Amino acid sequence: MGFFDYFKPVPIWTAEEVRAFLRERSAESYNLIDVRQPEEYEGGHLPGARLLPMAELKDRLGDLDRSKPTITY
Amino acid sequence: MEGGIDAWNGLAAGGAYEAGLAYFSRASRPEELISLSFALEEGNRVFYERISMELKEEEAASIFRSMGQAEERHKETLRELHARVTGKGGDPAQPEGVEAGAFLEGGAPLQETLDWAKGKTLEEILELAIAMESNALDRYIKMGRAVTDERSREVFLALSREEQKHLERMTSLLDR
Repeated sequence: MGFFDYFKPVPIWTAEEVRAFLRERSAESYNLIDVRQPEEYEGGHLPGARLLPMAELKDRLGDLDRSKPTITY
Repeated sequence: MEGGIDAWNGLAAGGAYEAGLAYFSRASRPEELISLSFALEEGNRVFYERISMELKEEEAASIFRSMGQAEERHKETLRELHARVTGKGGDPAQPEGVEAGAFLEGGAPLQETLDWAKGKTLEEILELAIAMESNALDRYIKMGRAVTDERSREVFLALSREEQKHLERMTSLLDR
């Protein structure tokens, strides 16, 4: 990641916008990431979301396909 | 996503990520994932069929009946995939520890859930069905990721799109 990547704007979507996006796209066309703790994920998560807790995010960014849009919550 | 999971308002799947991964790593061969899917689809099919017979509201009963028929079509899709992957016809073998039709999506035992549903309102039953379909959607997406066989991936992702449609149908009925 380069210096200027830190200044890229990250859009914030409402739940409705995310819902519409997920409805229109196939599951293989995006990364949907749950950054909470495993017990929170277990209690309920968006269908198809991958668990990638915040503390592990930096080390596991390589797991994500950078060519696809990524949604986190 | 603004507001995180609290803003999502429904359609969430439950269950531990580790539990799912543990199963997928143990049963990551496509035929084992097909067997698990087949067993759960049968559980859902029986659930929808039985509930449709109990419901007094004709439109809701009709939707539940058609959901049961959709699960039967999913089973047929899985039978075809199983035959292609293994070269064997007939129903996929029962997965270890999961008797076909004994459990619903999400892991709830079928009979206990049918007992629970007696005397429940349509709204309560719909909320349960939405939870089941959310878990099915979650499972098929994850299975699509777990397999390396291209045809199996396509089938699992196609089934996930079907489950998405079921979810929309159930939620639109709940929203009325």
